[in-house]
Amino acid sequence: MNTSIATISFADVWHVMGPEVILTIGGFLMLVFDLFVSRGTSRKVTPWIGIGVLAVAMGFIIRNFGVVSTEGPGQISNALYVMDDFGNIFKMIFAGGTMLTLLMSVDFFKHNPAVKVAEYSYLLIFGTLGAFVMASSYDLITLFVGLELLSITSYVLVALRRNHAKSTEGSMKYLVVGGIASALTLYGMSFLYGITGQTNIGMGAQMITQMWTEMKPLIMLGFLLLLAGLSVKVSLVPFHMWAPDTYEGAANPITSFLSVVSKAAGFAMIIRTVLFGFGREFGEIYYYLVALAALTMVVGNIAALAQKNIKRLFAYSSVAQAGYLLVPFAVLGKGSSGENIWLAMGEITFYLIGYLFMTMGAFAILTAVTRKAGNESIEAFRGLYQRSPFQAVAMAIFLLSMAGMPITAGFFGKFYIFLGTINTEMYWLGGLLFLTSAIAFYYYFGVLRTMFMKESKEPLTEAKLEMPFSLNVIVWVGLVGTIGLGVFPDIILDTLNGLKWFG
Amino acid sequence: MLQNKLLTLIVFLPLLGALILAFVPRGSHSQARAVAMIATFLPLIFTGFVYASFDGNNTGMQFTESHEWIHIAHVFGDKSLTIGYSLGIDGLSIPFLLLTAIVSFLGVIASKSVQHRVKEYYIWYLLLVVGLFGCFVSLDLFLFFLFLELTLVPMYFLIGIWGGERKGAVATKFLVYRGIASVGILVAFVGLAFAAANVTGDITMNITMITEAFAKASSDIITDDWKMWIFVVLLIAILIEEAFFPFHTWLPDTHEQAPPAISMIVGGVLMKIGAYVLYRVGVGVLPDAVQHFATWIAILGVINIVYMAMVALVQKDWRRLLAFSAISHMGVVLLGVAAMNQAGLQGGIFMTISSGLLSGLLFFLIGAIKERTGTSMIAGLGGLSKPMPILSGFLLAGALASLGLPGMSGFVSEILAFMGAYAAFPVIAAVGTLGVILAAVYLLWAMQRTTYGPTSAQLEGLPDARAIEYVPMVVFIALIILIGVYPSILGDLVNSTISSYVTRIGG
Repeated sequence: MNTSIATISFADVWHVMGPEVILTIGGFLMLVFDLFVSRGTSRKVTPWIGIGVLAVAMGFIIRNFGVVSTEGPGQISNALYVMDDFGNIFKMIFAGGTMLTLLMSVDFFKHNPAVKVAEYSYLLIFGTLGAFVMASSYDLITLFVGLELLSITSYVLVALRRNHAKSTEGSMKYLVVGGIASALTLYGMSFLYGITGQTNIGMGAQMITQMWTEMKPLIMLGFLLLLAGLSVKVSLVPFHMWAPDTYEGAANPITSFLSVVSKAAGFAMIIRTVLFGFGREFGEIYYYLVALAALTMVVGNIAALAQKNIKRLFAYSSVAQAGYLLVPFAVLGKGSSGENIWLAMGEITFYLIGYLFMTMGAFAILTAVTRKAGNESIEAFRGLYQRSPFQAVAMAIFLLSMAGMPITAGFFGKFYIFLGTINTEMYWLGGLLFLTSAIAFYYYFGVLRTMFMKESKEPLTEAKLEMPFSLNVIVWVGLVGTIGLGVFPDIILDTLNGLKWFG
Repeated sequence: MLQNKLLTLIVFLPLLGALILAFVPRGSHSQARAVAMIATFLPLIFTGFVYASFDGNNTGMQFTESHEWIHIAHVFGDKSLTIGYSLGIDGLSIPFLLLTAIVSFLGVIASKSVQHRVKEYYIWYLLLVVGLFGCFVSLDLFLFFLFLELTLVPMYFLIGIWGGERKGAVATKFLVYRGIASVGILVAFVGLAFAAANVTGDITMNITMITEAFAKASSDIITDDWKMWIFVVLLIAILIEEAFFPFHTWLPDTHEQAPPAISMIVGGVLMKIGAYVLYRVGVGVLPDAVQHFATWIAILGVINIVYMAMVALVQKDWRRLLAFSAISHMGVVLLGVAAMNQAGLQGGIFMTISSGLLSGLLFFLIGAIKERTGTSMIAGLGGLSKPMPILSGFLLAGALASLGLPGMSGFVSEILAFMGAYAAFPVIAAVGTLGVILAAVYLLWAMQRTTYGPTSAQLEGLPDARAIEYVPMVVFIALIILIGVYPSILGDLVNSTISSYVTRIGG
């Protein structure tokens, strides 16, 4: 094979990896900044630098929309990295999610003087960088590097509350399970490399098509190992066991980071590797994804029924949401025409954006509520409507959106995913999606009941929530996003449908 | 033009009321009540306008208002998805609209006994009313579903906060049953829209366009299999929604635990949404499927009529008795629909409306009696006609109407529905009439134990109806008798629409 390796200039890198370069520079800038200023200044300023860096990165991502790098997957080449709207939209989700995470952290830092703010902030930025790489890389090696960058920063972030037993337990589990997952992913990749002799996804796909008949068992093995490893990242059943403990142990902003950014990044990588890495053979292997999606929706929702701790409840709920999110991609295997791919990408990203808004909003309120109560049981929400009506109503809207009630993003997202299952004639999976959502009513309404039906045990004036400005901002962003996407979904969907997903 | 904004006004005035209530101070109960009363009275007035200028001979939609709401250019390849804010009524929906307006206003009057978290109560109540109005005037299935879901959340809280001793569990039961029913309805709706897209080109959720598309489509464009599957899903959803056997257990619990005014709304309006969907979508869009399953629907109807009447016989609590009685009556609707002829279909609507009025009246009366005596157990009452002659008198009137006394609405409904059913399924219909006999037995027996006999000491000296309570009682009874002696008042509204359905079945 005649592949000439061209010298890469910084201009080329800047052209394709602009947002990544900004995050890298920004992250190091924060690291250095911390060394040169007083501790107090660093605590105050570093998170805001992080938010600024993300905002600049978002600006560059927006600039990149519609621009597709010539080294794209459409052209078979030795591209390691691509720029397309699929990557761009996911990066927007990551950057937005991390921004809200940092905003939520500002409040967290105030109440936890032991936490090292600068470390925490630049680790989040580097984690986001890892997510960026996962969304845009077109090569197994760089994909894995992105995955590890995100994973390792996450392990540290989960463990940051060092004097907290639950946090240690959660991070230990996360580290061990995550390490095994990375090993599985890498092992799977090594099989694929062994068969195809390629780390490039597109060229690998060609080889897989050629070798499918003779090498099928080995290719399947590689695929399943890869899928298992990535399933851990997005918490698909049966690879979800770490989620409740880790969610419970991590600080609230980090939990929301895991359940939004880290999960979205996992999805981006699954889509990138499976859709492009297996090419035409996707149609032969998709039923594993279908099975995972079905299992995840059922088990996630049923396990959530018994939860007493609000963060564990959200962990299982986020497991279930991962199941919904996998549905549009899984059914693609049945008919992955270009149009269907666009439709599925629109479904996934719409749901992810909605999920970002409702999760972040819910976590902002959860933070205030659990701090007030001093514990994380659902009972902490007792009588919230009487104590702080606005926050109770906002939380109710986020929960109803997660449950899939109309005029919220969650409802339209599910509705839209359901349309996709009909399009690919996978009716039972669509039916299951709605049916499991109906089961989910039970636990979401359990929280609603605690907020609205039970009366506060303490005098109302003392039990009122303290909502700092930053948390209120997140709640408002969440509300506008959740209701806006629910009432006018066409605005964003038309944009999504107009994207050049993969060039 | 006010004409085409009227329905929007009717639907959203209660919402406006709820918003105003949010700013009413927590303690001022009478203000909250006044707001709720105005916010349900104005829609009643506007509904009166609609009724007065409604053209009964027109089978099309009237008072229509339509705006494009959500339009997604590419949903399936080049097909677009359009969801509209479309409102309108025809002969089928106007009786339901009137029923909703009347029962929701009278429900506020009956809510007098609520003394706890009053402001919140009326906010949820008004939101519930928005959902109910919305269901009957929506011409877009998506919009309909939205309003249907809007009834779910307020109901959950209304039962859960202001209900009886088992309120929490029953509220959840209500939520789960109706949540699953909603899923079925949504799945069926999407199936309809998807099938209709084969004719219309683009995907629309507009019921008028879907109906036309189905009427036009030959069987190779929309296959019979597809229609059957949609209908089966829809029918199961309706069975849950209407608490038909074997999905009925949530309704008696709900009626037993819900506050009286909410019981009125549930029995009077909420339980009629399923019947409305059966007519609008089942008979209107999928008549072949209804015809195909007609025998099964008829058998199901008769099982409900007879079995529920038998269960009602052994009930100890009036509220449970009335719940089972209502299901038994709604079984007649299934029978009438299965007949698929003019008399049967019309009887079904008569029965739905009649049952709505009767449920409203009877649950109001039982609520009023329970408020005074502290119990709705039949055994705990007895000799009630002495301390409360007025309430007992109206209860008797309601019971008689319920068992089908000529001159009252129940009689007309049963006659029509059974006439239709005899024409189609003589044997099944004959078995069904057993329910009429049983109804007489359980109702009269319960009446006898409640109102006659010696009055127990603790019931003596209890006050009879207050002046304000005459309003719901008299209005309900007047309407029940009016429909009984002059059925055309309802018949003229629905006749043309039903005829157009029957023509389509024949043709």
